[in-house]
Amino acid sequence: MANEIFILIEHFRGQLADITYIMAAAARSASAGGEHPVVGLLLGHGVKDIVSDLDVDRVLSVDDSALADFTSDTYVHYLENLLSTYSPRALFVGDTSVGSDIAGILSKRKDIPLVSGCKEVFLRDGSLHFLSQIYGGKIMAEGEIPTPIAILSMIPGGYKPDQGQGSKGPEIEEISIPGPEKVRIKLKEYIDPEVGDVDISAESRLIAVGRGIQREDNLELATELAKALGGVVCASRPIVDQGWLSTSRMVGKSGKAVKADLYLALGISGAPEHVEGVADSGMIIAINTDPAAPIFDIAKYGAEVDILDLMPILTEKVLAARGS
Amino acid sequence: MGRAARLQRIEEMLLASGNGLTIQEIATSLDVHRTTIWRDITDLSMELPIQESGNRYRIARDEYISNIKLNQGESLMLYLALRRLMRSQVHLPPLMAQALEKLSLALRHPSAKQLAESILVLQAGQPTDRERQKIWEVLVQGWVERIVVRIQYQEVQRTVIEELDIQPYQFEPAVLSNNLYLIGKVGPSGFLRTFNIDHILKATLTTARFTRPEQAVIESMLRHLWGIQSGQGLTQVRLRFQDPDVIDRIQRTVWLPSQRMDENADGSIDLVVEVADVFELVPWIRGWGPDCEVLEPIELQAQIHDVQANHGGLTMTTKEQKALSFSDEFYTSLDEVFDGERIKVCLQCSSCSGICPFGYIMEYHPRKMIAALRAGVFDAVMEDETVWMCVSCYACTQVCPANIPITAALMTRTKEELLLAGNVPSELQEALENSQRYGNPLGESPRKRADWTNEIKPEIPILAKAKEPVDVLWFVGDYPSYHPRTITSTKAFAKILQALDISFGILGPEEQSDGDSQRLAGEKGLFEVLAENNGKAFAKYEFKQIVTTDPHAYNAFLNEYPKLGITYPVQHYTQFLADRLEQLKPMLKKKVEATITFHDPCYLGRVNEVYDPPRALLEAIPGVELVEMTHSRENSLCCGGGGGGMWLDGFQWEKAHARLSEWRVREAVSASGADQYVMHPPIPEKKKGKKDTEARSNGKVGILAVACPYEAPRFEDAVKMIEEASKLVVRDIAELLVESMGI
Amino acid sequence: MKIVVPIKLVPDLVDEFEIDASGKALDTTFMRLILNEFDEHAIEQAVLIKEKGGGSISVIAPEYDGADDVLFTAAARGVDKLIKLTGDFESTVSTHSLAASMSEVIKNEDADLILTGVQAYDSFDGPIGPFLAEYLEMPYVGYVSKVSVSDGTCTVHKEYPGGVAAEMEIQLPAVLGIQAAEEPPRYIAISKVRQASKSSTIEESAAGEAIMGGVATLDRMYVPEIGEKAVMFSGDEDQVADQIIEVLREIGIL
Repeated sequence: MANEIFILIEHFRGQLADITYIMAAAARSASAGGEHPVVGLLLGHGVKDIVSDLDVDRVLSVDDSALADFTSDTYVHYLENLLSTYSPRALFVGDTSVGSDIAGILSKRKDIPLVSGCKEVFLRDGSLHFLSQIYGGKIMAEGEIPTPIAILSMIPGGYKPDQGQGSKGPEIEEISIPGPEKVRIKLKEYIDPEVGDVDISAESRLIAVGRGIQREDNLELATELAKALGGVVCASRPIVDQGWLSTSRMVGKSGKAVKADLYLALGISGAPEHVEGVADSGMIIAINTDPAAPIFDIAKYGAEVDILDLMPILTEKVLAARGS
Repeated sequence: MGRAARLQRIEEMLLASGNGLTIQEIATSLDVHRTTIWRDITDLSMELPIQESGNRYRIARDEYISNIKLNQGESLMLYLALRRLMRSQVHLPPLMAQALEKLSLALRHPSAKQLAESILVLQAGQPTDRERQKIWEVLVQGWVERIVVRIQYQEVQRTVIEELDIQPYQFEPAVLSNNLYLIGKVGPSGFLRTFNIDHILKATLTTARFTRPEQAVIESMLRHLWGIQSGQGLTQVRLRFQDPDVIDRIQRTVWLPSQRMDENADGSIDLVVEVADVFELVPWIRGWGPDCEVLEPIELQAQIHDVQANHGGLTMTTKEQKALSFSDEFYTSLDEVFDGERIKVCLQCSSCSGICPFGYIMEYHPRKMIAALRAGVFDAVMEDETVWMCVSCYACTQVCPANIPITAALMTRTKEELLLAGNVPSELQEALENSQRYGNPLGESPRKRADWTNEIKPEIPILAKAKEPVDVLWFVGDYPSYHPRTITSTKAFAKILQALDISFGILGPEEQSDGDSQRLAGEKGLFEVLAENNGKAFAKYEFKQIVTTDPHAYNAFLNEYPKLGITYPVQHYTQFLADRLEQLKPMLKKKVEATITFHDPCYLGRVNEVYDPPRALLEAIPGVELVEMTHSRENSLCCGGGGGGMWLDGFQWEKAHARLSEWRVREAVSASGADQYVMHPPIPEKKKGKKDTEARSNGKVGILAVACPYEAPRFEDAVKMIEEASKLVVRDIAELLVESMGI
Repeated sequence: MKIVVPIKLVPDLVDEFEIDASGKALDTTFMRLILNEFDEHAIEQAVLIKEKGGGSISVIAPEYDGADDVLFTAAARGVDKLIKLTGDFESTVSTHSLAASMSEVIKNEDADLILTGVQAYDSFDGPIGPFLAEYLEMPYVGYVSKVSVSDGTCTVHKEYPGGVAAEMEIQLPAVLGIQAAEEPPRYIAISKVRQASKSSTIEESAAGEAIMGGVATLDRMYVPEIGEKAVMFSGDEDQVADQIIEVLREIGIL
């Protein structure tokens, strides 16, 4: 009803995206006394089971073959309908390839204010407030979430996914909505990154390289170090864009989220798009000659030395330590 | 037949006969009694070189002088024909000139004398070629007397020299070019071939003889040879002409014996010919440009089509035309560079490529670039990226015997073109974009340019705040302002200026990159913008001279800024301090026990010939032993940083797997003896301690002294990579002075 | 193929930011504005499409300080028409409002394809692409890294997390949010930009009245304190390596 917080459940290939859990956690945290029930919106085809561990009060599910895959046209059609039928207090979407495509469209079409880059949601003086970031996190801004309704596009970092998990599976209400008449976008196929390569999201020891590696030749040094540590090399976007490593090795918003026990960030500046993928890792050690690099904000330990000099020395010492 | 006519006839017969004729043969042929002939021959022997052997009479060809009688008109025709031939001959047989002279005299025209004189002049100007004369004579003899001639022949554009026995049938000038051909049968294969006489290298008479086919047969062979080159089979070619003037020209000339002209209803005409080699026609067709439309055959049409579509009226394919015009434009643009046109006198000696530190890697090293330019294929250089290996060190310019300004005129210009085409390594792109946006290649905020002065007392005057005239405007530069290693030398120099009580100031945030390295990397436009901005800043303040620690800035202010109207007296800091050595020397109190070798920066030394002031400063420091490296002064090895080199390290490493700075460091190690401090033989484990790492022999330290902001960080990086150099210390001269001054 | 690229200028991250006296907005006194990086990719992608199959490109920029330079650089890249949106643009005008103004101009351009950067880091209300799409009644796909066009449709690669991409076919006219051009934006020599500034003209178009609203009012804006920053190891590479080994031992990796 008018005080409900809707969250758009993001899912892909039968798995809930981390951002979905984060949004649930955000919605929960803003609703200490249960003033704002949290409702998940599930648009899909044959995916009801995936919401069993999501901490929401209930789920509105629209199951239609037109929703087997995401296109902005389709999702907007159904959401438009849902927003008209129910008038929630707010709709949370992920600031992602899915949510970001549709938030603005819905905002204009339904004349609902949109707030993006939202990291946290909280109650103050009895009303809902947001905390957003701009300029890659250099500036933060706070304000009241516009009334009576607003769309919030959320980024990770304010909550951990496990905060949005619950043991009590939510009740699922099936809604039937006629499909869109006109769809101008058609999915043709998915293209996966090269198969046969490593899955960095499953690795526990990662050596991450960024622009500081300078030359493709120097990757060898990282590979040696990774081998010595029993881990694997991954990279930030610039390295993958150059073609020095495959996209399956990319960490970050457009790449993978990793949960390593050890994340050694070498020559990486720490742009938000990258950091987004790292935040869940355990021990983060960052090496960068620029003391002001934002990577040091998420790292536990750091140093300003030259990574090209450090890598061979560290490899030697690791091998010595293991050998002895 | 009258006697005169008979004598004429006998002469002709004797000339034409290869084997000679008997009196009876002549008598029978002319239907007179042989005594008549005998008398004729006796008379003729007075004038003509008649030889007799075994009752056969012949005329000695080489001694024969013809007695043709021509009227004026006939003389003129012959004259014209010969003139035409003569114009084309590279090797002028004196024969031709002689014949021409006689003919022109026979004209009996007032201008004959002039003509004769001009022939002499022509002859004087052209090399007389005895060899060619001999070849002509052999060919002519073989032709007349039907003797097989052995020739050495080199086909056009081939290197193979063939040795062939030929039966010379006919001489023929080419219809459309100036070449002269000999058509003959090649034995033993029996093929008919045409030979460009200029390409016959040698000709000797053999003892074999041959029979010549009927003239008619030979003629029919010739009909189908357009430009007279060998070919096989016949193809019909149909060309359409529309323009009435062009049609007029076409109709008035017979281009080829086998041609036919068809008139079309719309007034256009079709020239139809059957030729052996269709592509022989191409240059001729192109000469007509859009006026000539090829209708048949298709292959020819495709070849010509490019030209019609894109250029109309020009005689090359689009690709060739574009390539040539690019090369031409580039060539012309070189004139704008001082002494740039000297490229035309390049000897192709390869001294430049030899001395170039990366010449061995470049696909197009300097000599080859000039060769490509001359060949009109300079566009190929544009596709290549190894030009970016050039570090603008000026070694090539320095060593060129033809005094070509290779670095400035060729390498920098080429980089300019590459930049315009967007062919730029990405490291360099970033540095240039940073320079555009922030006024420094490092991408640092311009507002922080003077942050290095923050802790210094007394305060370093920033001109915008100080607002009073100073003697010296100290242009600090990019690396000296922002790079942590270089800031150490900047601070040292500041101390010296203060110790010497110099009235100076810096621009601080108003200062932008001097732009010299960007200029050398090909971004002329960027250089101009930076220079203009600096010029505007300079103009706001009163000062007597500019002093800078950066040889590149020094070079820019001395040589390049004045071209933009920005002229100020400028000195490199070593010159400035050397001028004040009297004042400075007493301050150098502490001994610096070191063997020092000085690296001449390319843009201070080789380019601007400043060698002594830095050395004077070093020698003034007590305890210093100054030694020279193997390459010093004008022969110095570049550190690899100039000309954008410090922004191409990754690129150059990929290609070369060698760093110039490392070569230089090795030299420094040998010169300064720093490698003596590496233990030979290795000390056993238990003896190793801190003391052992000190120098053994004389307690001195090996130092590589520099005077350029790029060098300290570059050489220190290199030192880390080389084991023997581990004890080599790299110091800027300012740092050494400050150490000695104890401040 | 008529392509329109709406662009915007954003504050340069190299400089440090300061909040103004009100505590709710940025101090724009010393702010340097640069072309939004993703918009640069959008321009480059448009040029690549034009190079492959012909067409013409128009670029529209709001009247920020430095807009002229940016427009001329676009012309030097190969853009045909330069349009400047005049009006009172504070750097913090809402994206929604900017989209409303821009769409009026775009409607006159008869575009087949509209390319714009997938995001701009100075925006509080999301990227401009989806808004434009709505005003122009066109479909929108964002996070695009490959574009090919044919008659009436375009095919794109839309990026998803994990390196997965979706190939999608979209009816034209459409709006695309470009994540990365197929080739990194090429270098444009300053002399080319100067040339363009002499030979190109910038058309001016008055922005309609800014429709405010659709954006939340702020209570405050601030520069975040860095929470726990990393503990820095000191010394040279050798010493740092030793300290790292210590840490690895502590967490049980060694």
